[in-house]
Amino acid sequence: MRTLALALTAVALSTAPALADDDDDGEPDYEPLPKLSLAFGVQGHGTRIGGRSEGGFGPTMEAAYGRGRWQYVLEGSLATSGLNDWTTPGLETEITGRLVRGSLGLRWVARQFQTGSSGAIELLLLSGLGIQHFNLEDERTTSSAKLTRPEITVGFAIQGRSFRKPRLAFRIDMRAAFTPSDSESALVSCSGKCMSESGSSTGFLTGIALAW
Amino acid sequence: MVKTTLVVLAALTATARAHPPVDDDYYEEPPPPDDGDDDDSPTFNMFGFDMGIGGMSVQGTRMLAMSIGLSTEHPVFKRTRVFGEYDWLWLMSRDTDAQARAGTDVMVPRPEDHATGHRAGLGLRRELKGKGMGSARLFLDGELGGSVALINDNRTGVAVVPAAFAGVRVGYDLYSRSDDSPSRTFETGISMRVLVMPDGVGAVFGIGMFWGN
Repeated sequence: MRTLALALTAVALSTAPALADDDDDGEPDYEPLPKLSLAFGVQGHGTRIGGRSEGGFGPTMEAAYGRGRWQYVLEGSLATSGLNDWTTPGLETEITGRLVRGSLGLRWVARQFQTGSSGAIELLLLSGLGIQHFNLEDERTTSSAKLTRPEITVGFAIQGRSFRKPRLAFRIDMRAAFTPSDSESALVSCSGKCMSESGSSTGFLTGIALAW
Repeated sequence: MVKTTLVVLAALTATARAHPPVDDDYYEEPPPPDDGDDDDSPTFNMFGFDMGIGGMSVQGTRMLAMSIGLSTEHPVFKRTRVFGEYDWLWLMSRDTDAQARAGTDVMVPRPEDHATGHRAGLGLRRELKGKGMGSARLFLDGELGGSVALINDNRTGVAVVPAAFAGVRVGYDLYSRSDDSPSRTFETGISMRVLVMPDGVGAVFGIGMFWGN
């Protein structure tokens, strides 16, 4: 919990310099985000389960409602999931499965560099609250396990956006993901080799997306 | 005749000394000598993000560190900026057994021994070389500063790791052609820093993008 609180504090502090000049007096107008938009992309993730590294990638999609510089985002993704050591070849991964995750988030245009009147390169700050659901299977013991846990994500994205029809945007994002420790509920995934974790387990999410 | 001429010239000189010429509205200052650098580039308050990967020494253990963070800069002189930055860190320690098995000196991380942390830094950035090209500008900057990291290792607990750093950053600025653009410049750069910590020396390679208002 302490790490989660620290993470939220860090987000608040990091947005402060950008918020400082977010008044309307004499400020140039930001091109507002589209009212409704859909995005499709590919997302990679790396987390920890029971103290072991877990990672995978897969498709993601989102629907967003925009209001000025803010965007409210509903996001869902499906991804592969594999637990192994750094030196284990991918094809020899013994604990595999899939991850389904969904989240509700906020996105804010912190900076906007307009390239003429047709588009812009933007800095977005992101945060989200979501759920991760794992279905894992140990090929050595043929045992399986399910794990559901909440997540908090914070991060940023760089986005190239066209202001003219068809108003497409291309985005690359990078987020830190915080989840509670879960060694007890994921013993199958580490086959008795779980490491003790304290506080929260942290990972990352990164992806590319095309938005319309 | 000669004596008279000399006296008149001396008198004119004295008059000129007593009354320096009034400013001429049409007089133009000569341009400063061209030192080869483009001094006309504007300066901005910058805000953006950076990502890095490198090695850190934490409580005597050499660790692979990856970071993402936000950074803000303010120009204090024409070519000097003060910057502050915050990074979130992921760290993993070296697996010496795996390295021995693989017969390599390249660092092989041990993911089951891991740490996370916060790092705050403050420094100065000075342009060493710059060249403007229309609406773009290439630069080579030097950096000097210090940072403090608060690191939570799953085996050894919490550690505070101060560091001093020096490095270089190379990249380019783009200037917007739109007068209405909220950010007038967009900067992309890569950086290389050497960190000096109480337990050893590390290095960080990073990439960053910044928007200037």
